[in-house]
Parts: sequence; structure tokens; C-alpha cells
Amino acid sequence: MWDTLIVTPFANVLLFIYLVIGQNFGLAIVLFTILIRAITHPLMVKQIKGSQAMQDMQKDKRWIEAQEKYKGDREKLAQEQMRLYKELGVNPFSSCLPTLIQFPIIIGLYQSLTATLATTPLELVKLSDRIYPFLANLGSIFPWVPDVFSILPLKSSFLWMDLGMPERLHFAFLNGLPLIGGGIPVLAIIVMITTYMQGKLMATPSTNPGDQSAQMTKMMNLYMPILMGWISLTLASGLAIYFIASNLIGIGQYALLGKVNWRALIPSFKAEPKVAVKAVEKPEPKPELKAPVKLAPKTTLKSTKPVKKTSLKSGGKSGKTLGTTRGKNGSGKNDIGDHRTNS
Amino acid sequence: MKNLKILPSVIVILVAAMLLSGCAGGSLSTNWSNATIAKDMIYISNQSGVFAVNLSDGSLLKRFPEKAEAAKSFYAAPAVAADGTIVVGDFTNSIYGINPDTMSQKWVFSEAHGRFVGSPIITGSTVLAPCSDHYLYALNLEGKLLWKYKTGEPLWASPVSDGKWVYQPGIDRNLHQIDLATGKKGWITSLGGAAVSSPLLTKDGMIYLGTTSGVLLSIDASSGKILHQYNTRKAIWTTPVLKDEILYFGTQAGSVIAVDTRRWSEAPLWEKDLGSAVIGSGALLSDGVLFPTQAGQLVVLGLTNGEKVRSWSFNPNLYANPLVNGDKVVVISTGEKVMMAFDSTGKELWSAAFVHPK
Repeated sequence: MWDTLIVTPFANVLLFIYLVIGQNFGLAIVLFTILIRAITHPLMVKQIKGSQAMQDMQKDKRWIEAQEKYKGDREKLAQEQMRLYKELGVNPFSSCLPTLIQFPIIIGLYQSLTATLATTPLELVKLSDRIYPFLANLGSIFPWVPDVFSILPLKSSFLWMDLGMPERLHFAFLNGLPLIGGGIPVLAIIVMITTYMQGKLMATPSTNPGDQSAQMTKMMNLYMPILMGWISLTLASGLAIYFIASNLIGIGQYALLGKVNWRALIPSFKAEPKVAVKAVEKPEPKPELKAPVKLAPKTTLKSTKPVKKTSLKSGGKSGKTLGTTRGKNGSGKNDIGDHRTNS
Repeated sequence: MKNLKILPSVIVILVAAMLLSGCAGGSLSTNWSNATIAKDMIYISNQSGVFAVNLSDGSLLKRFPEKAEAAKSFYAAPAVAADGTIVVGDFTNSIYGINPDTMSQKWVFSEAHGRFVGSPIITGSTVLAPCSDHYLYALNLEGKLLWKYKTGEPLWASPVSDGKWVYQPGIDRNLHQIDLATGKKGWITSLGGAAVSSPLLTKDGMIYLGTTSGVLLSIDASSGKILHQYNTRKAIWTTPVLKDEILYFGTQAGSVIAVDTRRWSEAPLWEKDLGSAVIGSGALLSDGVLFPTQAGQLVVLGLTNGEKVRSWSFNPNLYANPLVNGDKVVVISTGEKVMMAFDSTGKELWSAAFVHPK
């Protein structure tokens, strides 16, 4: 079932790309990654919306009050947070669930990569059985495309690596040295760096570093590069190519959507939004009454109700006004977008 | 509420476990078992080890390593040196020299960076081991590297040698002629398709080999010039068998073909459809040529007309080359009965099962 629905179609798409572009499997993986990224784009958008919903909720008056009220009682605070999650219809995991959904795709991709690369005779025999008939007749549509069976097994060499094997860059002078004597795992290092970069760049700064979402993001940013690096170190380098391409394309997608937080890459530049903190310091008794909303006229509603629309006036010097809206579907939308103000 | 705090960690670990376990099925690449006969013994590479089996009754005598080790997995048929030393490569980049009496390690060569899918051969005092890291390794019988020769893609096929030159087919779509003494390149001939099976080298200096692009080639060993070719358009995995100037070979499409080497331009002598992929090479018997099929059938075909002389079936797949010793035929399968021996009439003499790693 899994093979029929995921692995075999993936393998055939990979083979198709490999054939059409002139038998370069490394390039085929990159193009395939772009395709996968395009298909999973809606999931990514959903993830962004989930993150924004969390952000918006953290600016809610009751959330801020709860932080202050239960400062010393973490358990009570967590209970209150959960209550607010439910009340405001925010799923704290909505930002990471779409990411998790992509894991089966990664597993399917890996299996299709190994199936397509066929690094043993048995895998090659099985690959021949997987090929769809249309691939065998591709030459009639694309005259430059050779018979699919004539190009098996695929050429797995790409740059200095064999895409079917774990990657190491070998240097004669390193032979015999402990740990790196077997070669330098360049791809695994790049995977770790790009995964870390992606995590940092795409993480929306939290208004409250102690909240669940911030903790989760922090842990994911820590674990994921290690996990991905380990996978790249031990499994076929074709998968590492996928990870790198996927990370870079992902960053590109975020950048195009205007969601990349470039400042997060600079360690000294803490992108902590001070709006909420200031709001706690100088809470407005009835902020909704002082709502000369400049950016989004529709964002003035009483915040005592489950947040449909909220407005908070920043206590910062800049005096910017934040406006958030939540549509009927529960997804949040921030009118300022960057969630930061300069004070 | 503590549960909530550890939840991210749990999710990450679960996802990691899911991912890794999901990948494991693909990462732990396997192949079919292969064996070789030396004197009255069969040495079979069967996943967790190399097993020494008595040819006469199929009894298991010893194994290497003594206990299964996760880091060692064997699929390529071992080679046996004149002094009895068993030489075998594994899927974790090492070649072992094994003492045949004790089945203990004599030496190990660990400088390769890829799996040993193809079987090594021993020519004189030189071990020639093709590797998936694109290199052909030449070792002495103590496991010391003499030279290594680089090709463009992984090597799955065993080379052949006439004592002066080595002929190594590759997935890089080339046949490489290499000086046995120095490892220097002789000639390289483009085959037009990958070669995954060992070529047939005749005493009169002809090389016959098939490619996965479906072409059977006749090549002059001295010049590397392609003299003749026959295009079946079906992947060829088998090493051709030569008898009385006739080549017998199978295709992945399930046919066995007989080609007269004196009449390349003519249609093949005969072609017989066996209904399932023919991956294992043929073996000559007194009354025909024996071919195994992927579907688990053993078929003996008459040499002159390709008519079925006899056949018998098993449930498991048959991929490995059958072994013939006198009137015994030894077949390796993917089923529980890993190895079976038959007499010339097809009667089962014995079968052997081995403990697979858990």
C-alpha cells in the first residue's frame, strides 16, 4: 500500500526528471525537491498562520495578565494558558503539525531515493518492476530521452559523492586520523547549518519566552539540526542533497512571503518584541476604549470576548498600535506583521 | 502540566524514531545470497555470515563470524585461494581472509569505502575485488593493497583475468582492461549500457558479456574492439554460457536466448520464454542448459532447440547462479530453504537453512 501510493510514484517521478534533464541524479533530486516544496506549500502557509495565531494570542490582555498573576506558580500558569488556548480556539501545536505531516513525505522520499538509486542488484531488479509503462515510451514524446531500461542502474555519481552512499570527502592526508580519517562529512555539516538557519530564520519571535510555543520552537531548533545531521551522516547522501535543497528552498519561500526573520541569525540581536512587556508594565484599564486604531479599523472589539478582534496600545516610545484580527476560521492575522517595535 | 513541557521532546523523539525506523527498511540494503564450491565444500555468503557447508549432505560445519555481528553482512560469493584461504567482501566495506579450517579471520582489508556486491576472484597470488566505491582493489594473499583502479561508477560484476590483463565491466557503461601486475589502464571500451554481470573470457581471447541495455557483445580481448553485438532490448543479467560456439543467456524479460557466435547477423538459434525474469546465469548439464527464474522455477532447456527438458518449481525467488558439481546441482533461494541440492533428474538430495540475524 505504502509502496504503491508513495514510494513507486515518487520513484517514477524521480526517474522521469532524471531522464528528461539528461541523467543527472543530483539535479533530479533538487528539481524533485522543488516539486515537493510546491506541493506542500499550502501546509507551510498553514504553519505560518498557526504561528501567527499563537503570536496574536500572546498579545491578548488575559494572556498577559495570566503571566503576571501566576508568575510564581508555573503549574497554575500552564493551566491558565491551556484554558486560554481552548477559549480562544488556538491550537498550540498548529504551527508544528504541518511540519510533522511532512515527515512521511521525507520517509517516502528516502525510500524512493534508495529504490531509484538501487545500490544492490536486488534493488535494481525491484526497480525494474516498479517502472510505469509510460516511462518506457517516453522517447516518443521527448526524442532525446533514452529507453528507461537502458539507463539502469542510474549514474549515482554527483560532484564528489555517490548519492547512494553516505557522503564523506576524502583527503589522503587525513587517512589514519581518528574520527575524520574516514573523510569529512561535508553534506552532514551543511545540512546541520541550513537546518539551524531555517529554524532560526523562520521562528517568529515570542512575546513571552516562557510559553509553550517558544519552548517547543527552541527545542525543535536544537534537536532538528542534530537529528538531520545524524541522518545525513549515516544514510544515502542523496537524502542530504534533498535536505539542503529543501532547507534553502524553504527559506526562499519564507522570504518571498516576507516572513523571514533575518535578524535572528545575529546572536547579539535579540528580536524580543517589547510591546507586550510594556503593556504589562503599564496596563491600560480599558484599552479597547482607547482604540484609535490606525492600521486596521476593523480591529476594535472588546477583548473580554473570545478574541475575534483585539487592539492593544503599545506602551513603547514609538507609540505604535498593534492590531490583530482573527477570522472565522480561527487563523490569526497581524496587521503589523513583524511583531516588533522599536523603543 | 509537566506532560505539556516534555511533549515537544517526546514528539521530536517519536518523529525521529519513526523517521529512522521508516528509513531502516531502505537503508539496510540487502541482496540475495551467493555461494561457491571448493572441493567438497560449499561456502555461502548468507547475510550474517559465511557458512561452510558439506557438499555431500548439506550439513553446516562452521561459520564466520562465529556469532552474527550487526556490522558484518555478506552477500557476494567467496573466492577460495590455492591454499584454501577463503576471501570474501562484505557490505560494510571490508574484505576478509578466512582460515578454512577454523573459519576464523586471517586478515582484513578495510580501506574501501563501499559495499562489496560483486565476488572477488583470485588470479595467481592476487585477489581482485570489485567495490561499490568505484574501485577495483588488488590485494595480495595477506590482504595488503597492491593497487587500486578507479572507474566512473560502482562495480558489481566480478572481473575476469587471463593472467596478464584484468577485464572489469562497470556500471559506468565501460569494460576496463587493466594490467594485472601494475593496475595501469590498458583500454576502455564503451558498452552502451551498464554491465552488472561477469563477462565470459574464452581461451581464444574473446570476451562475451551482456548489458542492462539488452545488448550481448562480443569483444576482442587484445584490442577492446567490439566485434559483434546482438540487441535483445531486454536487460541481461546473466554471464553467457558457451557450448560448441553457441552462447546461452537469459534476460530480465524472462527469455533464454541461444546465439550462434559464427552467425551474429542472423536471428538467434532459438528463444524460449520462461515467464519470469532470468537473473541467475545458466549452468550446463549433460542434457541441456539449466536456468533459474525469479518466480522460483528451475528449467532445463535442450541445447539444440530450446525445448523444455524438465522443470521444477519452488515458492521462493531464485536470483543466484546455480552451482554444478558433478551430477549435483546446488540452488540458492530467498526462502527458508536457503540452499538445495538436486541430482541430475531434479530429485532433491538435501536442503539447508541458516539462522538469519534477528
